[in-house]
Amino acid sequence: MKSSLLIIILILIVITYSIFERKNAYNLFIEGAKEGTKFTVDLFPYMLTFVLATTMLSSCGITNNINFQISVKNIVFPFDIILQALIRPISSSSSLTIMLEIYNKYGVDSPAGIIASFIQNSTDTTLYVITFYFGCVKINKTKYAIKAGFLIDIINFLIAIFVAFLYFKLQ
Amino acid sequence: MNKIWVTIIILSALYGIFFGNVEEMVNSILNVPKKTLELLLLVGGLMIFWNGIFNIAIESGLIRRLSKLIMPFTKKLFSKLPSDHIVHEYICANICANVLGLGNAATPMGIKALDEMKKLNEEKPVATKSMITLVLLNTTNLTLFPATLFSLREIYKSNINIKLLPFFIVCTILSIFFVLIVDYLFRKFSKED
Repeated sequence: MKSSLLIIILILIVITYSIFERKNAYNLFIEGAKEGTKFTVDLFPYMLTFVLATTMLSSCGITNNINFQISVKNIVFPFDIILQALIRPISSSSSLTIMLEIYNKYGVDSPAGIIASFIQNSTDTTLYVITFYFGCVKINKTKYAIKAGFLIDIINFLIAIFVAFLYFKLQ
Repeated sequence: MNKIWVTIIILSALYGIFFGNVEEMVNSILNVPKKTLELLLLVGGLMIFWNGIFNIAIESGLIRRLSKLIMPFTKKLFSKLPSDHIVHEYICANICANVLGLGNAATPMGIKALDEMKKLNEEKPVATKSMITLVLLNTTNLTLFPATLFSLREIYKSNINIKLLPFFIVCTILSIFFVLIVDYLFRKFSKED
């Protein structure tokens, strides 16, 4: 069984349910896709900034010369992964860009590609979420929220690495 | 974000000028817009597609139905809020949308929930412990099936997606567990509410 099957099943469930509820799935899809389009167009400048930064970083030669790598039990952590993990809580699109670079460089199913996927999925843009949510309802005293948020980020990062290693071990 | 970006660019530019190959660097820089557009077509196209599918799920009431399933748990977690208040429905919808990977749909629900909590707290501009619990849950990834990430991996011709799925679920469960622990500890050691 491939995961493509899961994707098709998910789509099937959603569409079938809308038939039972007598909703116009076609119009609803277009409405949602329109919203997504706006979001994607807005995303372009953000991605541009980070593709520029990572391109400059990798083409200036600094990463080749330092050869910054940590390896644990034959599994190599390239510099990109550390960069991705540091950026993940601040900007989702930037860390996504780095993840896709890792897919291109090392392969999607390589250890580096797998770890990058887990890191991408491990947390959200913590700082943004906290300030946005509380900002929307005009709350300025957030107490321990940011401290706790960052502590959780560190824990999530460790969980991502731990689970990735669990996967490598069980193969 | 600004500081990080500026630092990376200046550092790379200086390093490139003194030690690297400037010619090569400029060539790659000029390729940046093209590369970005390619990435955007890949990621953006998927996001647009899933947004469409998930909008059907929201508007047809599928999410609302799923919300009812987790209501008993969230009522315990947010026991400080009056138990028959509408705020619980918003909280459930927010968590459900997150679990299904619908970040964009989760946000408005979460904000409605916070707004109701603020009303319950006499409109004070101060975060209550319940509010922080909800926001912290939103800062982690609660997704059980990361649809966009999996679609991306599928495009990159991954062969092991289905083998990885249980590990992603383990990851999510562990992180929910730790969020609740951290939240509990902070609740305990902060005096006022």
